[in-house]
Amino acid sequence: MMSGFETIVMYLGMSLLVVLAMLGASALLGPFRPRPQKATTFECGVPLLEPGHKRYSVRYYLVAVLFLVFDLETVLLYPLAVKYKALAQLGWGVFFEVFIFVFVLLVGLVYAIKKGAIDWR
Amino acid sequence: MNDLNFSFDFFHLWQVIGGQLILIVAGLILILADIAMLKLDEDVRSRRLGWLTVIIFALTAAHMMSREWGLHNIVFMGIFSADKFSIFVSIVMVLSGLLAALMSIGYLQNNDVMKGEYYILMIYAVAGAIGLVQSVDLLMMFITLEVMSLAIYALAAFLKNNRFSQEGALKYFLLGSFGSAFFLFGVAVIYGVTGTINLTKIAQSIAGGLYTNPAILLAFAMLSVGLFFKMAMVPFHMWTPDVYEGSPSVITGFMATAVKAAAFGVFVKLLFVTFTPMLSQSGQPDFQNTINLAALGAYWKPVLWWLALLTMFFGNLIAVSQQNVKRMLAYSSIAHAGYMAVGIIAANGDGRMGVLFYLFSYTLMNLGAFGVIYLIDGKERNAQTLEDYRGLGYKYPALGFLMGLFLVAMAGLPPTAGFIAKFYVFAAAIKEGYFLLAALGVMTSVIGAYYYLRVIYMMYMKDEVRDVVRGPVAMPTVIALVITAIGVIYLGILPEQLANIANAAQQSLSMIF
Repeated sequence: MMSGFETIVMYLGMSLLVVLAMLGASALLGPFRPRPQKATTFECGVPLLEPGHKRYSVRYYLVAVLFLVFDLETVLLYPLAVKYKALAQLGWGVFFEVFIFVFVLLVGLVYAIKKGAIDWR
Repeated sequence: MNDLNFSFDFFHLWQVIGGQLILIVAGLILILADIAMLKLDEDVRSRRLGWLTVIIFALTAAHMMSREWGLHNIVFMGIFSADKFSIFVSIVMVLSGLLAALMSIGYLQNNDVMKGEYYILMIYAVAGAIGLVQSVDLLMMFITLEVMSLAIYALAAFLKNNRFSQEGALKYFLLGSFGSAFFLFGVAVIYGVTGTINLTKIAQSIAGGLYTNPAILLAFAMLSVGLFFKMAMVPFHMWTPDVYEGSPSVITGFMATAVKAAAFGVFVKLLFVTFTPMLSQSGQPDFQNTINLAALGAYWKPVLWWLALLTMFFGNLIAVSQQNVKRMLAYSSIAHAGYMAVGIIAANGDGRMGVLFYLFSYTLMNLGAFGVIYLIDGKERNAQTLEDYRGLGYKYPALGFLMGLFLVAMAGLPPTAGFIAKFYVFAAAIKEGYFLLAALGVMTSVIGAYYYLRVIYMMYMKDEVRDVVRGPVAMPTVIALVITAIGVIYLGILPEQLANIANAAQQSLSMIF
């Protein structure tokens, strides 16, 4: 049963062995002296500048959500465009359906803009 | 391309899913209307959107009752059906949306949350719920279930500055998604075993010999668990009290009626069409073999028997110890789910008719009760405990009378709709020989009477300890309360009309193909 995956399995096994060997060797040979300073955040050797729990702007999420509108458009329109020649045989229904779909997304976009989702101030 | 079968016909589409189309298009228009009115005062904008929503729900109900009620060609492209059963449940949900929208106009003013999104989300929740009940295709069921649920999650979190509302909404979202995942996994297993997601084809496929396959039972269990979450049946009820307590009062009433109606409607449809010999009653030669599905009854009936019993007992017993009236009604809503499940177990025409009648009357009395709660509350969480209700019956006679009426109806005392609904459900169970379950059910309903009547006792026989001042009463809320009160009494005295319609609706379940 040679299916070509033996090399991959061997590669994974070897890497697992190497990792275990390296970690085991350092655990066996290295000294273990924990100190409170060692448990703090490591920032290139300098003392910590500011805490990690920071507030950041909600605009970040708004942009991500707005991107979803265009994302959906592309994801669903590209396959349709590829198959459009076959679908066009069935009449104009598909053609108008595309516009209905885009219109629904457009309403969402207009709504977001009017409500100030990309109002950067 | 051939298997897609594009027999698209706009007139057919309009007849079958016209209600959904009206709601979806109206939702889009309301979004634009909300933007167009941005310059106006928030108060005016909110009130206008509220009235528009009421008109839209009324139009939807009118369309459904007039056009879809007597169709022959009821299935559209194997996805949606417009049988009388779906239409009946849809009308219950639209009615719930209509009453909730009427009450919301005053509620939003009392709580200073005047956002147009509220009504738009409500419209989409009802659109999703109608789609859920109308679909005869498991995948479409899942999509519409999510459309409904997402809108409801957002509505539950609508009181932005209220900690309880936020907590409830997050719990609802997490546990609801968990339930939906169960449903989706059940769909996947069904598809893997039978190779189809259409309800009638699944029934044929299972009846053709698969009914001995344990994978079918697994899939059925998973689909049921997903819906039991939404129905708030007992092992899956954990989210209910927190969500019902935290959500805006009107939304709680809407959730307890519309979502429950949708979940029960789709569960009855799924159970009876796919897993019982219902389709063989249609007389079609194609479905003669579904008579074999009676073998599955040995599996689901005992399970549902215990679930119904546990739901009735837990809901009623825990409600006794609640001090918050909204939380008490949340547990009572769990108990009502148990009573409705008794009607499903009976698995006969009377039982299904009883469930439909129960959903309709429960919508009226529950929304009415939450309407009164919000009026006494004024601003959310102002006066919700039993202590606050002391002596209110003499201070506000009209509100006290209405609250008493709705609670008596929920306790199931004549001459109200609640009594007739419980009677139909238990009578159906006794007819099928479930004497013990019916007896225990009536016993739990006596426990229920204790805590419902305790509120009335507090209102009329105790002196007030704290000066509770009700919020301003808006005119639309008065209209909604009068409609619900008249409905509750009317259905209690003359139930035959609605019972006949419900009976016709449940008979149509065998004609979905």
